[in-house]
Amino acid sequence: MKIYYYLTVFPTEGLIASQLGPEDFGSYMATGSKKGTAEHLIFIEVSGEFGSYFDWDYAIQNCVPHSDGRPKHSKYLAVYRALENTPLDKLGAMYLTTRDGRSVKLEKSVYKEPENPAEFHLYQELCPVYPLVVSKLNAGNFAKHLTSDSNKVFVPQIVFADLKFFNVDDPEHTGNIGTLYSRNIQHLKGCIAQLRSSNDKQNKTLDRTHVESFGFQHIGKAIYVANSKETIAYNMLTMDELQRDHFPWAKSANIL
Amino acid sequence: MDSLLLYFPLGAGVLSLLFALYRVLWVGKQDPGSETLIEISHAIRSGAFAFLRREYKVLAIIVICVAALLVIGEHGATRLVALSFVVGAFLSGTAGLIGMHAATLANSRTAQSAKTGLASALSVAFAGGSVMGLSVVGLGIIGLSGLLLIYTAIFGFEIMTLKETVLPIINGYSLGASSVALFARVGGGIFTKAADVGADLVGKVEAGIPEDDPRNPAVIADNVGDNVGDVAGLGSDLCESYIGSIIGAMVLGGAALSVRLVVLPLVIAAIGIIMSIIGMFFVRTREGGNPQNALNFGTIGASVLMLVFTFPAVWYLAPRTFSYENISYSSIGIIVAIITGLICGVLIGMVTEYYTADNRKPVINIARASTTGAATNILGGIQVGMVATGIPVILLAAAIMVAYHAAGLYGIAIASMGMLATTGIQLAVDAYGPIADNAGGIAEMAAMDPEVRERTDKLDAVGNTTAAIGKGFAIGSATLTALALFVAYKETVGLTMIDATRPRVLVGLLMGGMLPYVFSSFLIGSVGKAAFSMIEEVRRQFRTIEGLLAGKAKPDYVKCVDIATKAAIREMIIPGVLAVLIPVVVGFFGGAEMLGGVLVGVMISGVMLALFMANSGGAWDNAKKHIEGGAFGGKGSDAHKASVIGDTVGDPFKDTAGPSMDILIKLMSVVSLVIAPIISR
Repeated sequence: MKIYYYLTVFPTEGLIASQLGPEDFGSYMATGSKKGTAEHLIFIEVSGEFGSYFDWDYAIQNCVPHSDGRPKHSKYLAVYRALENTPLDKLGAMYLTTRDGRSVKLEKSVYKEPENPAEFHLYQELCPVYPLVVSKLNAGNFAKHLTSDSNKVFVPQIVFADLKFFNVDDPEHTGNIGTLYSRNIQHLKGCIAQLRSSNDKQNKTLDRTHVESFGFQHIGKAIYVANSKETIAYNMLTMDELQRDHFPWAKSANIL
Repeated sequence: MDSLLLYFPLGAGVLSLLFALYRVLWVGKQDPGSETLIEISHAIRSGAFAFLRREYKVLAIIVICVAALLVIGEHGATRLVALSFVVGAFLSGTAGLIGMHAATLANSRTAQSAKTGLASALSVAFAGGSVMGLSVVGLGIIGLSGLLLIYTAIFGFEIMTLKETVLPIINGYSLGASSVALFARVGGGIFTKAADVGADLVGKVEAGIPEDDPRNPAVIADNVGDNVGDVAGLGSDLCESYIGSIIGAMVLGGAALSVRLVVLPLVIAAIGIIMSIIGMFFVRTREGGNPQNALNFGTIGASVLMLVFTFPAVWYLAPRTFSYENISYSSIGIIVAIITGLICGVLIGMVTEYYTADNRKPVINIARASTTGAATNILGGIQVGMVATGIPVILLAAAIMVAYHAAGLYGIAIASMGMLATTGIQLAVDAYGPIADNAGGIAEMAAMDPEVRERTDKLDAVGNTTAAIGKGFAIGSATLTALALFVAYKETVGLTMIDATRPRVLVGLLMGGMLPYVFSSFLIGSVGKAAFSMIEEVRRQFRTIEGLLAGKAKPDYVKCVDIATKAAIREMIIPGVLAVLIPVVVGFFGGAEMLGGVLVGVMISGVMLALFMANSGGAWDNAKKHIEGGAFGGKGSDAHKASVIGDTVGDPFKDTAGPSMDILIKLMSVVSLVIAPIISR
């Protein structure tokens, strides 16, 4: 049986070997073998075996079918610094799996600068750090800001999502943005006001724990994986595509 | 000559049933769709009929027991009240059965027709609903006019014979219909909400799977619930309202010592049936049109035609003048009363729609209140429910006063006829709602194309509005009918006045005021208990059936239907029997005056509770829908979570306890009316 390698980036970081294909792996991870859990997750296919940080031999020896012939669901290779040690060129498609185990595939693409950048962006950092940030920077520049070693605080690689931005003064027409519309909406207004009034300040942390309630309905244009040299984008499917081709997933994800 | 008039309603009833037969055959000829559609539809259908079979077995025992008691309790010719009772119970149950047959036939065919377009889907869904409406009015009036023909052939057609012998016997017919209606409403209401709450709480909240997802073990039970609660339950409810309002008016016509005033309600009902059938032809829309307009056009058209043709009927049939309590009234007053009832019904429906529509201020305020949590959402819903009693009660008060001044107590009874004469089409529109809802669920489960789901969603949204308006009509007509039955009771037992300062009356008023609360408590508690069993079962299936969430294994739908059925049957018996027994116990041990007080107390607090629960439940439901439409963060937001809690609280309010209030107040009145001759002895 073929061994697949998956880099999970949400809700926990890890590199996992599995004999399940992406859809089945997503379903297994979301609901568990005893159907006792209901957790959504994001993972990326990884073409192994590269470098020396991960023990590939261990994976090959241990990721074998059960005695009754059932495929091995998961064999963890790392639960720490897995993203940092996975080169971007080894990443394949990304999968978003809902709490009830339905997955949708996002293709990897080259990041392009937006032609008409918005004044503000909301970014949810997903791995390895988790703040929710409001920023004046577009995704490419935000990624550089986070991964540049010229900053006092930086991470070598980052996964973050560009979130839907809504009109905070029109609560009746927010769209399905879930927990982004929180009881602390005044804080968001304050952060935006601060960024507007300051030329030096580019980013403002809104919330350090929002990631716990992050949902796929929050995602705006894309999820990005970046280091200081490169940013790759996993563009979110359009509403038409979701409606037409992925209706059950979009309903499970609270988008439709 | 006057007795020949009874063949007119009988003929209208037969015409109604023939048209229902034509419609059901037409629905049956429509494309049932793919194998998946047929399979889902079959599961819903067999679940619904399994429930009805078991419910009717229990009801048959109760009907036989009550009929036996009536034979023992009554004497002489009035023992025939037992026969009337059995016929009323049988026809009410049959109407529910036929309606359910048509609805479960139409649901998958509506989904399949939605592939072609909105217009054809509307036609199928409405045709399915119209079978229910036509069966209820057809069977209701055939039974009534048929029994009247038999009894008048035996006893004669003179006014004193009618007043003292025939009409007291006929009251049993209303009792039969009311009894079955109460059990159908209570049982269906418990079933539907237990399944709904169970499916939502575990499926949506715990497992995160969307509504109408075939992986949810309770999804079929939820769809079965739409049929047994909203089709069979609603059908029996309106059937007894319809019969109750006709009989109430007939009894008061007898009190006015006019044969023609006794027959007139039947003739008006017959005109209403024919106009309903004509109105059904108006219900059609073009592609891209608004189904709501089509339904409105049908119901308003039927009402206008009804008024137009009622005028000559009243003019020809009713005496130019008649007197009641030494006050003289003219036949024009009867027309004024009918128009008043109709306008009052429409206005109450509009007010209900205002308080519960998802784009109106009261519901938006509840949605906004949800942003600060479940507690404020609950408070918002309670506030809306309470304030929503104001205008309808004022409208009812105004209608009662106008109708009374126009045609005396007969006017009040005939005003309720104004509301209910076009029950045929009103019920067709009401029953269309759950069919459209089922069609949407089936389209989801069968993963039909987005355009199909969009069309069934559009039909379903219209169904929600019509349901709200229908509830307003049901409450309004129940109040006027209960009032007419109360007056008929007062006449029969020979009470000249009910003095609230007399201790017996006061005790009765207090007891009566308390009953709807205790009754509601039983029902809400029953939904909670049944939902708990359902939740446990759904959790068990998720836990133990390998591959269920992955869609590789099928859930055990039958088990969930069985749990809801057993719980509903078990839980409906005590409140149902209490509603029948209490007037008997109070009547025999407390006397006619105390029972009069009980009836007034039940009517006042029952109407308030019915309005409160229907409006708060509807407002909570639509506040959730408003948020899901993309307000205050939409799905998954804190406001949404709070609104789901509010909606869950409101579910048994609006679909179990609230609608049962209408029947409770009428059933207690009609039980009192039936035992009135015994008490007065």
